[in-house]
Amino acid sequence: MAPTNRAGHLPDRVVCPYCRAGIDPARVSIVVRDARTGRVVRDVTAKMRASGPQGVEPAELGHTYLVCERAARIDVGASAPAADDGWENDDDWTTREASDTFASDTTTVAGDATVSVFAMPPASPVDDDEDEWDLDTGARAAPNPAQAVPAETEDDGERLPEPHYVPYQYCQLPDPLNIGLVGTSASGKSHLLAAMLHRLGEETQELARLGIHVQPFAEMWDRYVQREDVAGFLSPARRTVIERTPRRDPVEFRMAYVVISTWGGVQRSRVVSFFDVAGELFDDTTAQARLQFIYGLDAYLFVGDGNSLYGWDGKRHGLRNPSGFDTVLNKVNQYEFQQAQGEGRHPDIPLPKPAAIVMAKADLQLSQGERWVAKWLECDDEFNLATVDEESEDVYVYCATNGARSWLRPVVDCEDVTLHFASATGCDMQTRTRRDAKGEPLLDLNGEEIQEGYYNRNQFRHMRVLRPLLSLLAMAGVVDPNEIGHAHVRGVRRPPVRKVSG
Amino acid sequence: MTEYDMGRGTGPQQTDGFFHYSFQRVAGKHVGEYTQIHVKAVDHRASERLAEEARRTQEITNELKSRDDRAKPPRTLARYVRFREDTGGHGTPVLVLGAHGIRESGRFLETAVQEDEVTLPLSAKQVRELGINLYEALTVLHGIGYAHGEVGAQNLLWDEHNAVLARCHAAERDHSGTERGKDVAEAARLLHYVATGSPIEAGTPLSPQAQRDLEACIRGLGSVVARALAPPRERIDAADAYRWLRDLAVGHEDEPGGRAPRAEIADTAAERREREAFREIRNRHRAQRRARYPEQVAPPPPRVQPPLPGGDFLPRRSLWRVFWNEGIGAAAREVLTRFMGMRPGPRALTVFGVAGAVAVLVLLLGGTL
Ligand SMILES: Nc1nc2c(ncn2[C@@H]2O[C@H](COP(=O)(O)OP(=O)(O)OP(=O)(O)O)[C@@H](O)[C@H]2O)c(=O)[nH]1
Ligand SMILES: [Mg+2]
Ligand SMILES: [Zn+2]
Repeated sequence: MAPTNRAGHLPDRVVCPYCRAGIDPARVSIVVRDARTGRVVRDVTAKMRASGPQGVEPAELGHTYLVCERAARIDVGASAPAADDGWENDDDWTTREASDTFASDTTTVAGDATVSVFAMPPASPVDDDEDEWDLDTGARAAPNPAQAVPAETEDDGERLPEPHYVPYQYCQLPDPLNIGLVGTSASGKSHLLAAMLHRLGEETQELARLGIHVQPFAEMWDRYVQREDVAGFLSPARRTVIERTPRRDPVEFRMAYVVISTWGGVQRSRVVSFFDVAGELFDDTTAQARLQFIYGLDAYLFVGDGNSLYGWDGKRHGLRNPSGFDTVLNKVNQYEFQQAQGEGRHPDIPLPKPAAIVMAKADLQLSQGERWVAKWLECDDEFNLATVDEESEDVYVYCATNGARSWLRPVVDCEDVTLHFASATGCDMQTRTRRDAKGEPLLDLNGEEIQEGYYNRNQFRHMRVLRPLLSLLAMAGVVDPNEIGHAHVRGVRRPPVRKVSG
Repeated sequence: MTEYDMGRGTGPQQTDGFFHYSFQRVAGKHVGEYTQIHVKAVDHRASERLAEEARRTQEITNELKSRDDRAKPPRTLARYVRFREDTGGHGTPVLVLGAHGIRESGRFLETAVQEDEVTLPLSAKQVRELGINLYEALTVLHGIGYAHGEVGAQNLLWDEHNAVLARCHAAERDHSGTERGKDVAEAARLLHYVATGSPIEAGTPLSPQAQRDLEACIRGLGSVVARALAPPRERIDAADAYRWLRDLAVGHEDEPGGRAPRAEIADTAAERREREAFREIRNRHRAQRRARYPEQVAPPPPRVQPPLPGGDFLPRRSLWRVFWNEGIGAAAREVLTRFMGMRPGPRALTVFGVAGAVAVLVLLLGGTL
């Protein structure tokens, strides 16, 4: 492999998953942050650049971040999320290798220039004289209002904080798969995600059968499961409710994994990350900058609240509230259109991204005696992915004939879609007085007893939560698309051969 | 026993306190073999009721006959054969019903249960068969505009395999359809009863627990029963229930957990339209994806990511060094890949040509240095 000047073993270009700016690995600074406070502890740029991941203690690697700030960004316009930003997407390997060589050669020849020429968008002026100041005058400034914000900004709940931090591990592998949960407030996104991630850790054997090995970002996982509410939710003894995601929650992945897939005889690794933001952001026009990440999502997990089909009287009357899906699809479609215009090509219709639509809280529909839900929710075939299309069809029919047509928009807008019934909890939430270890009720500042939501421990179960995720991974080519009977998936280049088992 | 012996050889007998029943197999002239049920009232009040029943049953039977002269009598609905007002002056009237769908071992289900001749719950297969017969009978009856009015285990003949609906003493022409709806719901409750052994309250929707119990018996049964017990406006009709029950599959009992293959319930017209719409979208998208991501036959060479830490940072070997270490061929290949963007490979001719050039170059360089 050719030597490069890539900082600390990073690919030629990293796309910030939060603001979509291209980050130049040669200019970016790398820092270690405190696990609890998130404050920057020290700058390790020099060390990382010299010796890669060995530049920090192994224990620190999970707390190492790239700083996404103006000085490190390349032209935002060049970082079309749909454009080739990974190896997988490159159609001709040989060309790719050759240009790699050339790029590195060029930089080597240029002395110890820290600019990776290859990473530059062709139209951008090359900073030959390494005049940092020039870069900041706006020659390559982001045409994006989010980046036009001067200097550092506080997190005010509307804009993306500046600068922001991208986990180093995330940047190590090319072509990440960013999955975003989309759905209006209280649709059950956070519960579904917690259940999914928990099951992902539980079912290693089944996943191995599907040809994938899933490895969480260790520190991120610890932080996630140590969150008070998530810990309570996952603890079999407690089963408390997961809190609603605050609007000002940092726009960060909730969780990320390295997924190593071995099916098809080739071993590949990809980062799979999950975004779960507050649902109200999807209904709010002032939150533009916080929603910037949706343009960079590679796959969507649309979450609809099955319960919203029912009124207070318990009768089914169809959806009355917006699903939140439209906001995202409109924006992403428009972005795709503009990108295409800019690049002089036809826009990709439907969007070149897979989506899974999940009817969350299906346990409630089950208890309403919905036969469509009953048919699937209680089946014991979570890993029998061959029936995914059949289920999708039924969910589609159910939504279309029961007044939930607005949940079906992604079916038309995204190039590949599956639909699912799932329940993260298996039962409805109840409330009780929160008590301390001695059983005394806890009081709030006004002296009133604090209530907490919880689930009946005996009825609590995760129902079919992994299926949507596995289907999505299959549609994204992480799991063999053949498992769900789909073909022609981005990045999967061989005619898939069915595994012969047994 | 002799009091309702009518001088002909009678089969097995049963009584429910109001009526005595005896069953016998007969061969009809035009209709083949069937089972006759002789119903005999035990007292005066029962006699009146029996006369009423005879009148209504005859009306229905005639109605069925008038629809189609040559049609066979329904298999699952008992038909009128004859009614004898009075036997021997002081006797009580006897109504003879004909049941084509059961053998002579048939009994009224409720009485059989009371007398411990049958234990509930029935097996999944029996439940399914019973449900199909029951709804078939209702489909026939409802089809001519009548409602039965008293669907229940006490009025159902059953021979361990098949069931026949009998006793139309409450049957009426039903113009609005509400009575027929009630029949459908009553039949669903009866199904729950035979499938679980416990009755459910009338007029309530199916509880989730009850539905799950039914699903445990036959996958899909819960949904059918739930829809048959739905509020009147959403309730399915007997023909739908009949069709859906027929589509249910009973799992092999020797299968672990007795898991049945998933039952398909037929779509309504609207549902079928949506299903087709979905398939159409999916096919279109698949075609679009095919154009976008044509699958390549040859797998790409596995791309090895930075193999060893530090490996990237070794300075590239000079041409000179390659030549010394690996000889002229390797050096030629190196030239090709480095400067011409060609993939190293056994393109002998080119390699040979370049090798020559390299040799000259090296000689020249070596000479000048
Ligand atoms: N019955 C039932 N309730 C659920 C389920 N999942 C979530 N809920 C309830 O739905 C409510 C909202 O759940 P969240 O997961 O916080 O919803 P969210 O989409 O993350 O909401 P925001 O963070 O505000 O966007 C909670 O009160 C849960 O009790 C489920 O599977 N079944
Ligand atoms: Mg949330
Ligand atoms: Zn950024």
